[in-house]
Amino acid sequence: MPVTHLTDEEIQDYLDGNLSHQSRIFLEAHLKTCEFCQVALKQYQSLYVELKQDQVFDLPKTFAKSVVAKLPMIEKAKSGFNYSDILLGILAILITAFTSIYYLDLGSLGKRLTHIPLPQFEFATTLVEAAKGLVAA
Amino acid sequence: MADSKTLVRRILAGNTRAFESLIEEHKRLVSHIVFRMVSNVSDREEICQDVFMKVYQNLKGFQFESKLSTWIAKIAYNSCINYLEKKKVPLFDDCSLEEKTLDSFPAQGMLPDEYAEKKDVSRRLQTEIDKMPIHFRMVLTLYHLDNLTYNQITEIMQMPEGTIKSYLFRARKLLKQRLMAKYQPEDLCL
Repeated sequence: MPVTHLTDEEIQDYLDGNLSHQSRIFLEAHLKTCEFCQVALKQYQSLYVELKQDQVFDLPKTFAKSVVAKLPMIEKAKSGFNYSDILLGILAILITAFTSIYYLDLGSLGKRLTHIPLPQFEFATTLVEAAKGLVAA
Repeated sequence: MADSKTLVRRILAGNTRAFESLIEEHKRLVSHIVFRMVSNVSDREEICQDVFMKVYQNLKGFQFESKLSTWIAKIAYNSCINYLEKKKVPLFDDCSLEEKTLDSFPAQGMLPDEYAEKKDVSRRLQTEIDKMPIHFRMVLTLYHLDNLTYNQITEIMQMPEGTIKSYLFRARKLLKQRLMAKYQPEDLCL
């Protein structure tokens, strides 16, 4: 008759304390008589102990001070954004607008377009005429 | 919780000493997360610093809906995920579970005395953990090293509790199998 051993899941649940009272009693009774499962349990117990070893995660002792030393940079960045960035944005838009008007002569173009007659039923023709006028100009 | 509230209030009032103690209190947790997730040694400390900078910047919005440590851990976890995505590191690689067998690792000589043997098992274990998918490493670290509950891990990693439990179970089973392939059963029973 084949022997039924504890599963990995049952052993892990036992060590994690996730088993019901009844399951725990059953499992402990099995462990008393089964050497195979005793070894498996010990291996998992060792693994759990090893997993708690905290040896490779070291930050320098001055770590907290070095972070705190950087805080003024955050404050400066925070307060600087609201004013200078918005002002710079507005300034950039104004410069672009003035440059366009000056170099492309958009002011006179606008005036010419408003003086082109646009009859209700001859819209396409008018547009062609307007284009011709602009090319001629 | 009351202590955390006082600490946060003092930091928000501009007390940098209070922030320094917050860092001292939580740097172990943050370093566990960052060091486990990021393999590039030169980037680790900088990421840890970034995490605490983000904590400082967002502290005003922290509503104490969770523990302060859980909130900080979540920031650390998300920072690492962003970093790994930028570096195009696969976050979950199931192939690594099968392909990286023990034979592909450099052989390590067993030293005679028991202490050295124990050190060898520990070193081997660290190597094995580093070869695991990131989510496996993370649940192992948060559960065993930081003693966090399933609920806290669920909140940090933003995954269902069933998934977290499954990762934890599979990670431990895999570790045991890999160590068993190298050591005799009695060597593992330290």
